[in-house]
Amino acid sequence: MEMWLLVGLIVLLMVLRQPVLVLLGCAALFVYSVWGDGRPEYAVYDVWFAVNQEVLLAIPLFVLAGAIMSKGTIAERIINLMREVTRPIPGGLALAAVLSCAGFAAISGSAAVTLLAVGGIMYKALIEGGYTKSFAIGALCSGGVLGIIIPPSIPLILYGYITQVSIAQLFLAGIGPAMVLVAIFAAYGFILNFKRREGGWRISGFLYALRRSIFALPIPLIILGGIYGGIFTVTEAAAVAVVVAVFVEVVLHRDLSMTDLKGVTVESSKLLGSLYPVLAFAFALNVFLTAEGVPQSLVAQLNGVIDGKVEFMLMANALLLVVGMVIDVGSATLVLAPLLQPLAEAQGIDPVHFGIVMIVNLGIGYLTPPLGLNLIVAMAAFKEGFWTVTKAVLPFIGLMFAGLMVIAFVPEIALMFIDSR
Amino acid sequence: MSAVLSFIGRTERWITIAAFALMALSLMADVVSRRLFMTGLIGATEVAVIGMVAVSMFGIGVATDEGGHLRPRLFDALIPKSIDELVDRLASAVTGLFFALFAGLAGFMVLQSVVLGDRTEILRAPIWTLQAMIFLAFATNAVRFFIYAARPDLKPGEDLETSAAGAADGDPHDPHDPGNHNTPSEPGAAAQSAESR
Repeated sequence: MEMWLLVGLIVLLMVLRQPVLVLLGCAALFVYSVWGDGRPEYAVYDVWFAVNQEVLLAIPLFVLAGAIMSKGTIAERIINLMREVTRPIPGGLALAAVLSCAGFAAISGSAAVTLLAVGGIMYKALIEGGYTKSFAIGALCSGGVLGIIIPPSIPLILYGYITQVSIAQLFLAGIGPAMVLVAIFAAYGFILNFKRREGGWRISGFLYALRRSIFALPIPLIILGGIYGGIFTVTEAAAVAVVVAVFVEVVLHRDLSMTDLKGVTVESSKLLGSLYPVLAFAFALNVFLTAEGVPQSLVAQLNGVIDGKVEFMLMANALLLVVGMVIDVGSATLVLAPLLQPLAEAQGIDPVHFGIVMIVNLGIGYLTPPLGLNLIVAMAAFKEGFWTVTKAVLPFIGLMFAGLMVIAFVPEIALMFIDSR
Repeated sequence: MSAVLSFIGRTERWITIAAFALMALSLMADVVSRRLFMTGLIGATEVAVIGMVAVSMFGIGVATDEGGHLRPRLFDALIPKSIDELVDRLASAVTGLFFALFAGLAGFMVLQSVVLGDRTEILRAPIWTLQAMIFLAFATNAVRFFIYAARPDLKPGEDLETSAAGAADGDPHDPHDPGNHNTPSEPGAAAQSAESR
């Protein structure tokens, strides 16, 4: 009876156009009042504990660093270098687009930021280079998804936070799957655009592009090298990323004024102001569910039904694909990871591997209608209609799905860098 | 009412900017100190966490000012156009009530901490001063939404496509505020805005 009351309350609030934070907050109040000890104030204590966590420090700082680098010219400089490097290769510009997305993803941590930063420059170049509109949109939208797979990745931090899995290990595990997806996208671009070449090598052009990007290229190395070289933690790496980004864009490149910096900071606050309350209320619900032993009983019940790793992987991926179509990656991770991760572990699946599978899977949701974020961003950025964008990404959804299956059923791809350490 | 919204919005934006600077600089100083002097700065991480609490809580208001909160639109089509404005007012009032309720609960938490005399682990700062940020953030958002319920024309839009394109849909309350930088020439900022949905 109470369960139906809760469902009814959530539906009513949705009809009343309430934001996700209100839905989750009311759900937290409800469960603590009805099923808990009748102490709704526990929900606000959980909010306090959720936002007062050192492990979360990395998120706002990586968000700010990504925003600063998007606002400046780091993306443009990386793209120019990639174009010079791939000039003689058939379909080189397509490869440059994918590699630029991968390169920018390594400093942004976000899919839509990567799509806009790279797409804003590469879309016009691809069209002028004779590539079809459909291919250009599809390649850039799917390349943008690399932003949440290549470290640093905000959804991976959320997964690590909510499931208590090492974020440093999750970052390492993202590298192999990202390489698989880059290889798949590049191979597709190569085959489809075999006859298109930009020309031969231009040593002067290459050296010029290299000189322009000389301060941008080491940034991913500083961030990841610092973490895995034991110089600083993931959290500290995020602070270093902000300071380096400000230094490069304001002092060295001089492409960002202090006024721009202030605007970028306000934009980052806006993003965090919408993410953190959702995270805090999801945390409150998670605390309640864990205290009541819900994940444990779910594991016990489903373990009898699910027969082995393969069946679980298929079922979990099917569920996540559907969820990814209607819920954003952050919310889906915060709500589902605490429920699915114990199930995966009970089936003998490495929690780090499962985290990567989950994020790659939910990443496909960026490309699927009706709510795929990269579709909406691409519509606005490239001034194209919904169906044009949706049709353009269809082959890339297939490619990403193929990549997901490889990543899901060959755990070594995700775990190779962890095992080798 | 417009002046109240403008004052709250401007104050919260400046707090988040200062808090971001506090976070980045305290952690960076800790790393530098550890590398140079072989010892970290005592309490640097705690200071950064305080900054994060400020950003995350006062950021709620920044997101509200720019229509940046995630909202499922599953049932939007069910509402007839004729009562659209009424439902919009009702929606603002319900959100205001929600924030007011949580402000009350947060106030209770703050009072409990004052009574118990809880302090942070390293800097020994009174915890209630930090928890008060949660109370203030919920309270200012309650005020915002009650004002929106009374004056729907002051409520910011929540158009995803516009934000994604980076169109100038900045703070409706204070167009002259230099902190308002949601302009078309900011692809990164626009993406951040879109990502928040």
